[in-house]
Amino acid sequence: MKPTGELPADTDDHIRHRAHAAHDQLRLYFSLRVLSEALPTRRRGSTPQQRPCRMRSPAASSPRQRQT
Amino acid sequence: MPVEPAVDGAEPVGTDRLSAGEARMTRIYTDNIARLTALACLLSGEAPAAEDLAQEVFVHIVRRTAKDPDYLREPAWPYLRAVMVNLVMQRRRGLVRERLRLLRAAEHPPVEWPRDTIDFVAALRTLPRRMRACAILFYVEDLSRAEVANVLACSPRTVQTQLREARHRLRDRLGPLEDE
Repeated sequence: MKPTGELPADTDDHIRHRAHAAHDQLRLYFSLRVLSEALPTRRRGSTPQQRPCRMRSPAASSPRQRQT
Repeated sequence: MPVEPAVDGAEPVGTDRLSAGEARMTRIYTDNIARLTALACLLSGEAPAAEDLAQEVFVHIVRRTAKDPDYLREPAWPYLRAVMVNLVMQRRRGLVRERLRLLRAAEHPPVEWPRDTIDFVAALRTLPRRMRACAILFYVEDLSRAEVANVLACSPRTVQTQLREARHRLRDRLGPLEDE
């Protein structure tokens, strides 16, 4: 005879299934975090395309224009 | 060229052994850090604290290995796991402020987590720390009751009692069985 309050036999399996699923998700989450931290970060504006253009127009920077 | 003698038991700098030790520790870190952090997350209930705890475990391991190069044997995971469990138990026993921080932060789990994961972590958080550790080692790590008792330095009878209560509480929190 089962004692009062005993749970179904597959309760352990159910909890273990949930536990493994949660643990797998957390491992994936932290793996991605580790990977993202390992990758070099790139600030906005640091790429050549995004870097502010320092070149002036040839006319504006030419000595003749500055003299006139 | 003579090798400089070790100071206080530390490895002499510049030897092949130190390089091999560093490479081994790097490999162990890379292989286990995500799993260890996930375990810490379940034990502590919160993601940022879990990352701190995982780093603390490796600090502890590196210090112990510096004194005793044979401390960490392969496979490394049981050692890492045992250090983590003890660290969490000690940490939560002593640092009230840290506990409060964990409780506050746990109200906002990362949005990337699936609902089932959030629910499971929340269910674990309702358990007292020793009961939670028993449940995690038994259900997540698939240890036997005797192995759980060994990690927690308690009797198998205690583990049995803790698991029985944890089973009831987790089932109540997680809801009835479903076809998954």
